[in-house]
Amino acid sequence: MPKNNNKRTILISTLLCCGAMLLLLLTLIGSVSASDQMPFRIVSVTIRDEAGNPISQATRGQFIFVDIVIEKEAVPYYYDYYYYYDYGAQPFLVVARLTYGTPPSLMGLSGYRGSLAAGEQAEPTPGLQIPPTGPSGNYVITVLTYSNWPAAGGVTAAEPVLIVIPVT
Amino acid sequence: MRKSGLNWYALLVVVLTLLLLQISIVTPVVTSLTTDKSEYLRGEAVTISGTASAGEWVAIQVKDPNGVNVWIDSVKAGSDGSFTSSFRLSSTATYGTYTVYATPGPGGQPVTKTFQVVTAPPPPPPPPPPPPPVKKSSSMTITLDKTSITLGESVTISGLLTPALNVTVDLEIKCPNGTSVSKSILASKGAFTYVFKPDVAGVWSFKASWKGNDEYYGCESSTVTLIARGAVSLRIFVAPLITSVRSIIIIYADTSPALVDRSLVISYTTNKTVNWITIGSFNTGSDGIVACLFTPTEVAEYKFKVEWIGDSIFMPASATSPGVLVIAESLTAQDIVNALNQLKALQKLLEEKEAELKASRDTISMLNSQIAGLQHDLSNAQSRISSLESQLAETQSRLAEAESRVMLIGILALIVGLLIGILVAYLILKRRGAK
Repeated sequence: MPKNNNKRTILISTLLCCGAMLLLLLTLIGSVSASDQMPFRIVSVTIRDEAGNPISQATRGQFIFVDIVIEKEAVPYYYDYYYYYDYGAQPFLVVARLTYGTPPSLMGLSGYRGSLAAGEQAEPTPGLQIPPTGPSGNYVITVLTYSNWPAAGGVTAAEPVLIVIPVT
Repeated sequence: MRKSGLNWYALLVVVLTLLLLQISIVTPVVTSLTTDKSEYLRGEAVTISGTASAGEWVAIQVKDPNGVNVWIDSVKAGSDGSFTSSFRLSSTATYGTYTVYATPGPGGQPVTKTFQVVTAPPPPPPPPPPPPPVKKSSSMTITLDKTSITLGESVTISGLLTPALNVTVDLEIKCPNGTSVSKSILASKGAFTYVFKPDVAGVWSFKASWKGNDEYYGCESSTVTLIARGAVSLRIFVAPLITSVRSIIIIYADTSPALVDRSLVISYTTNKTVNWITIGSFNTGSDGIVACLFTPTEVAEYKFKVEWIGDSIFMPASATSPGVLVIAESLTAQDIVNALNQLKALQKLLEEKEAELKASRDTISMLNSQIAGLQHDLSNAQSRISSLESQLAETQSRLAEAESRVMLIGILALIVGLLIGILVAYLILKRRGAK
């Protein structure tokens, strides 16, 4: 009987530990496959003039608008910086960065804060002024998306989008 | 009762241990953050680099001593975990300590790094001026093998530089219209030649020069000239080709190339005479054209001729008009009315054609704007497709990576579970044995 009890103890302990490890494995599968996703997506970026018309080039001193369509992915994501399944609205910070040359010199910066629930879209349109005394040539507008300012612990929330605009 | 409590206690220890293990696996971190220098001058490029979890996005922000944003970026760590972000400091950047913030995401902890922007050291004093060199003089001559040619022929320009050096000399060629071109010619022991073929008639001039070197001052030759004589084409037009006695005939002649302020002789003959009778000499205008009026005095077939007697630049030429029939009767009033009616009809037709042309241009303009709009839409769609394709490829790659990780973790989980189960059983059995 003691021999049978020992075998039963070994069997039960081993099965319980293996079961716990498999349960943990299932949790890991969920986090590994979902955490590689970005919670937001930049759907489109259009550069517009003061009247709202799309433009493909600009002049020095001109005021332009960066028309951004941003979307919260339709599927609710387990996103690590919140550590829970998010079915509600998530905050975002969209930054439009204007640079020139290589390595780039920062020529302008503009931003917009908002929040979106799963499947929703927003269309922030931050404005930028091309420096009146800046050089002419190809400028780059980069649309960056964060959960907050990086200095405040914000992380990248969508893949950046680049647009080159010739300036005369 | 004790046996069951022991089992649950062991199970709790195992689960807590593995939860800690999970957190350490999935939390992204920035393991290092550096700048390429610790001190920068205004306008210099700053390169931020570091390492994070492989394939992780890193959010970067740089603030100046006043807390003003001077750079913000999102970069993706490579397969080895390295990432880099570069920017150029403003030429008016604030002096002091700048702070770089880097946060891996999602779920990572921010890391900071500082660097300094300092004032530039004063520039070194200018070098003393070099002593003035002691130079010798040089001279140059050029000659032409011909001083006058017909357009289409070539002329050879020969030159000699003293001292006999192997240097490059400049030959300035001045065109008849006053413009100049410069050719660089290599002189061998001071001698050089250049073959030139004029493309327009007129007086061409040539002058060679050498800018000198450390040993000799530069020099230039005297100017030599070349006359290129060209052929002239004349045309003569008359109107009308049928007219009546004492009516006016318009005679119009032009020259090619356009001869400006040159005298052309216009004369006529009839089928009743053998000689050409001079009407007069007429000077060409700035467009090379002359015109005159002539009144026939008898019924005959007239012909007109324009002559250019030639000069030192352009060779002689002449042209003869087709015959003009001069009749005795003049046009009737009905003929004039008919002609006017025809003219009105032609004017109306012309207006209709102009209106059609304008409508066609408007249509083309509208179609062009539609094409531009469609091209813009197409460009947007192509960029969207490209973005989705890259996202799909990246997702597939990550999925494969995740599957391999899951397999590995699963095997490890089973091994660890087996070992911990045996350990727990051993502890339980040992406790029982102790009792």
